[in-house]
Amino acid sequence: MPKSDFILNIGLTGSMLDGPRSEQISLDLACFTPVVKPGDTVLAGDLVAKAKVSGQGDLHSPLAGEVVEISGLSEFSMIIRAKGEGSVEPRDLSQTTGAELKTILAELGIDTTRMPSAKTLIINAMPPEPGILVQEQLLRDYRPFVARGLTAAKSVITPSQVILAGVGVDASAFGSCAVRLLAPVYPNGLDPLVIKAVTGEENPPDFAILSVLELFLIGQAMETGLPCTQTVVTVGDKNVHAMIGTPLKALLDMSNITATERDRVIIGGPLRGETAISLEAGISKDSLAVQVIPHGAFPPVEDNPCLNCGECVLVCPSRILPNMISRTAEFRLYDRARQYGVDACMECGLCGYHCTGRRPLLQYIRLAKKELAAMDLTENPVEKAEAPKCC
Amino acid sequence: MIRPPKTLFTVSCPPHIHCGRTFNGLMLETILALMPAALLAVVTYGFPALRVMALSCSVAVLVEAACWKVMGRPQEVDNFNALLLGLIFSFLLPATAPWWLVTVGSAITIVLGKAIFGGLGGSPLNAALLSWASLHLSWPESMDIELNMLGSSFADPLAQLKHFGVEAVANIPLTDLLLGKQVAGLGVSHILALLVGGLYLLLRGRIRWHMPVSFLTGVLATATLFFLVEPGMHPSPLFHLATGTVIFGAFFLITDPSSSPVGRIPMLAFGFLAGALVMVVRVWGTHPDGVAFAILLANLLTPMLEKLRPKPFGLNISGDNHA
Ligand code: SF4
Ligand code: SF4
Repeated sequence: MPKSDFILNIGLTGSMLDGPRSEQISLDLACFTPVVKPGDTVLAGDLVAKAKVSGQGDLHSPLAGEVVEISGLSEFSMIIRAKGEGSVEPRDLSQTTGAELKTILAELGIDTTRMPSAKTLIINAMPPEPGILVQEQLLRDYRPFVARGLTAAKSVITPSQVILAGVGVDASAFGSCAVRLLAPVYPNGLDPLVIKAVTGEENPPDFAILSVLELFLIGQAMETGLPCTQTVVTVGDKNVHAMIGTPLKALLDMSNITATERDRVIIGGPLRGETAISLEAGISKDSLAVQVIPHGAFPPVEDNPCLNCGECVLVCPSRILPNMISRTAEFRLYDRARQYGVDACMECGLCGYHCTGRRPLLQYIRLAKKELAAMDLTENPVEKAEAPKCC
Repeated sequence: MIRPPKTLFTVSCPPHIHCGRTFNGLMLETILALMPAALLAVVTYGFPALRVMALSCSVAVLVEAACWKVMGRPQEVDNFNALLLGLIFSFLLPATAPWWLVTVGSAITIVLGKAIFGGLGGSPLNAALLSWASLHLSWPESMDIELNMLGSSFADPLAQLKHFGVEAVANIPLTDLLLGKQVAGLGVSHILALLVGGLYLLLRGRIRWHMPVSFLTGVLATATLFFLVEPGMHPSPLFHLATGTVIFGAFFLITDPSSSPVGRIPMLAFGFLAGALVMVVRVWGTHPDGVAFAILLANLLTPMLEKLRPKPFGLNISGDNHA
């Protein structure tokens, strides 16, 4: 596989495809507590699990069927098999606004923790990683939905200004919003960097940032009045409008992509995505892409010593020292990892991409972060209530 | 209930792609970049130069293999690092160096320069220079380039400058220096060949420009300063660039990852400081060349220079600065 040039817009051809009609779907329960048990029958749109962090958006069954299994592949999934017909009644959202709308959106499966009341709202229209075409398609072909979502988001966030940031986006996109054009190169599409590009400040207060996909999902919920059970993912060079929980196998088959033993099946992009254990795993609302990277396409990660070449430091957008952080984490000196700035890491994955020693840098960084979070909790249990940002 | 998956995929933390730059590749390409200078060394000094290089490389590889064995660590001598260190060390020696000197030096390079600090990336000092300095202090006569190369038809311009003053070197054409018509360590006198190798590494992205450029700037700026402040007392600044170990140092010594700092500002400061120190040693010190001592001294300052780093992203605003 060629060296990545990190160019973000690869040029989309064709229109969005309808997702495969799967007989069985698998919902990722990592951030949810199930409210149904195996054997229960559900209608399309029925609540099946509540978000562990309130406001993060609950989980609904995308199809009418029977809950066959909870746990399954790992502890964290729920398998529903299609059976029967029927769907929940749509809600009428045309008159709802503000705080009431926020509560309803969370009940419909939208992550409303990303919608605090703020002075400025940034629409992130940048593809977050190479090979993700969702933003491009939604802005080109589904603008009314996105605009509907924006109206709803505005009524919740009540911003005094809205800024659209992206590649080649035009000012007329959503009425009168300001536009900020960014260079289509990774990692420019990551939220913290988009915010910085737009405002000139790093982690400024009083900001909300929503991606085009998030707005589309809100718009979809507003338009249909139904829970969010459909999302958009890029598979190969096409976008697919698929049910959440659609197994990876169905998506890959549809695009004639095969994954064989020892390949990596990635949910998300090549720099930040997570690998799937099995093709039976399903996509979630924010998966964005499914990609297969063949075994042997890149030199493998190894447990090598850091030779202190400094390549990772040169590319780090967080301006921290991944070399020292990984070295300290190797020896469980997490306090020192903090001195080298591990908390500022935005997990872009660039350090690992460039590491001459092919060290698992992001893994060490995540380990250090996790251990530090645990240490903070034991030292200062008062913060416990606010602690679990994601579960 | 956990079903074993039918097909086993690779599961790992992101990123899932890699730039393809590997350590072995880095070592091999650096060795390749040294080849033009090594070839010209053989052309100039004949068989003795080849002998010194071959002996130094072999001893380095054997000693490293032995070190890992004794230390009970996995054998990693096949990553070409020892080979490269042996070659770099041999470049600093006079072509006539006796076998015991080469053997002891090469062994010191590996044992004191690398293994004792735990291997790759651990040493705070440039291994080859550390060994060179130890030998220089222990057997000054054997390490003296001028003394050992009396039979050569060229002279060591830096020794001439030191002993006979600026008039002695005033008439050496710059092209002679560039083409290697000077006496220095066996591999370091062919300036053009080294430049070719250094540029190759730069263009391939194997080394970054910061340290070579700031080092050469440091030498040039300080030499110019001396040249202007005491007119008639110093040769032209370009003379200093083209003599001794400056060019070799710029591309192959200060760029040693282990002993140099990381980050743009520290790298620039490190290079410039080392460059300025070269001139300080050359003008005020007793040693004619100065590059080796300058870089070793700068190595010692690396931990301090690394404090010149920017604030982590976003931490300056939230007041959440742990650093
Ligand atoms: S993943 Fe690596 S390069 Fe990216 S912000 Fe974190 S430390 Fe820096
Ligand atoms: S890129 Fe890898 S080997 Fe180089 S300094 Fe960073 S962690 Fe160490």
